[in-house]
Amino acid sequence: MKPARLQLDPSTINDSSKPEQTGQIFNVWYSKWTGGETNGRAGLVHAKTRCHVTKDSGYTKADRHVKPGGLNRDKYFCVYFARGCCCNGKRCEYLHRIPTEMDQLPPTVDCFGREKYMDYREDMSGVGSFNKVNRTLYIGRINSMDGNIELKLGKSFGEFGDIERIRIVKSKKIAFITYRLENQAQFAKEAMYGQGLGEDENETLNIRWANEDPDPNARKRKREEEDRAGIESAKRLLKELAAERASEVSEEVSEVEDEHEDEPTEVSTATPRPAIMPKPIISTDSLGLLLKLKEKRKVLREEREKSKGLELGYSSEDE
Amino acid sequence: MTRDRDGAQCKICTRPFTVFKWAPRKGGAFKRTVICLTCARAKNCCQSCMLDLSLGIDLNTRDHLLKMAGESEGGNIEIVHNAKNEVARIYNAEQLDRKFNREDDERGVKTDSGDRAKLLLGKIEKVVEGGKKRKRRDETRNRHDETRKNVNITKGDLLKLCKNLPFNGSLNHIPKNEQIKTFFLFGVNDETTDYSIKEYFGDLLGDRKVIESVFVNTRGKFGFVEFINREIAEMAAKKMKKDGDDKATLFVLNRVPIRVCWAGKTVTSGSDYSNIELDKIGQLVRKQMIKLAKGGEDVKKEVKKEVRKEKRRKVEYKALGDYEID
Repeated sequence: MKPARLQLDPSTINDSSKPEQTGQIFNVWYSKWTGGETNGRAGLVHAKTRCHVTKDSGYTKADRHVKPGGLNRDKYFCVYFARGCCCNGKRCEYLHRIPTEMDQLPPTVDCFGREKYMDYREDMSGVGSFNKVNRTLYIGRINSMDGNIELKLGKSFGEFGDIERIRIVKSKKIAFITYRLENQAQFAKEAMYGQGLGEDENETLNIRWANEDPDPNARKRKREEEDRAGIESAKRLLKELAAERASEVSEEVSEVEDEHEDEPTEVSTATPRPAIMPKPIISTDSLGLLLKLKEKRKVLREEREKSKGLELGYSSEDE
Repeated sequence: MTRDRDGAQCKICTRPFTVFKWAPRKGGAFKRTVICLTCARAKNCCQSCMLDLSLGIDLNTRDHLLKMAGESEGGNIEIVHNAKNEVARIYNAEQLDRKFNREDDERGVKTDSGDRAKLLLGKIEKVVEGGKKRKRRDETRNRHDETRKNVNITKGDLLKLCKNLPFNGSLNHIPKNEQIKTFFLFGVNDETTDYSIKEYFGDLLGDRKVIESVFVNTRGKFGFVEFINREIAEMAAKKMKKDGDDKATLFVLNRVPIRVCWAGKTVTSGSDYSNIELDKIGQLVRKQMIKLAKGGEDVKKEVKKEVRKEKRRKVEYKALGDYEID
């Protein structure tokens, strides 16, 4: 694998390259204007840079922590890379490539590590919601619907992930693109925002999250997909459970005889054997621990109230 | 780890809660809790990553599994629905708070999370086993549906619709027009996805980048594959075609027989047709597939070959499963 390409030369960035004044105050942390009539929002303008996946992607510092072919649980993708303007290249602390199924990031953040919210914004823009797995993007402001628009869209959007299906509404000049993975939809949303199809300079696409497809066929398909995904993960869990049990059996060699009699009924009746959990990310009784902590704190607080005279705001014992 | 009392509002119930912030790896990125303890407890999930505490899977999947296992009502883990209104959310959360406090006072601290998960997994196991049967039933029902929505097709309409869809083409006749670098496919079903077609042709040619674009219309049961240039397209045709075959070449993808041939000069898009027209085309495709299959037994053979391959894979899997699960 090659090192990530420098998408933007850092020497070309100077004081004058801050965005055009669209508000009253310039926020240096977000490099954005705020205040004023539109609160600093300039509306949709054509993006200055663009991400060329095959040319630009490569390894960065973040790849040191991700084994090739291994699961990635905590390294995020570079949002500037997606927009085509990362000036760190291989020294970037974030991944410079498109997401795959091996990138399993927590559902509370998107693939760039930005926090999701409970609800979508009213205009369906932004990071999105953690309540729903949304793999479909809405594409608006397409200039022309001539020729085979699906192939054109597939060419531009297929660069950022595996497209499952494309649906066009010709009369409204909009399209809906479903990706195989949610990560890829998030990446494509950021990468294609304000771009044109086939690098067309006169086109500025508006990309948002899609609402649920009301088509009965699509609904049926979605239900089936959910079933399949559910069964898939259940199988995985059962496998892990079985592996756990197998290791236990080998540990308790002497009890093998009893073990065999128990096993068929074991799944349905809760035998008091501990540690059946697929190991995980979180231990099973962390909730219990938290509750214990809460109890303890309650006791401590009561004690503190008794000895209020000595209290000085902070004391090290009760924390 | 740092603690911040009332540091942020809970993303679910919007009440302030105690935020914890920590770095899992020294010098690494920080993690923080995003929902309050009450909401986390109600959903039995982690306050930071919102994965299920006992199963370690995301809540959507977990709720779906609960539903499949028939645990949604009166079960151990309740599926908590979120209110839309902010005041209602706060009210719900306060109710939950009260409920949990009462429970704690009555029973003290309980840690039956493991047993609960075990029970759930047992139920799910049954569902997974029963899943096969249910699926077969669904399939027969689907076939029923298809025959019912029979739309009348007149010949004139058909000709007009299929002007640019070469159902009688083949890979043997290389088009003279050098611009054409596209294949036409038909016979795809509802579950065929763009990327599965792309993967098939990419693997055939040894490189997925040689495919410019793919699009499949599941309603009309047809699609197109565009290659980056003419040479690649000819190479693909050479690899796929069978000698002495004057029909569109057959290949099987995930048990679905699909026929492929060279596309015409103009490539139509699915949006050129209305839904009714697409349904008509879909029916025509089915008829055409049957007609083409009558010439030889190749469809059955190909499907059987694929099924056999799949079965072999499944037997291996089953052997593994027997060993590991029981």
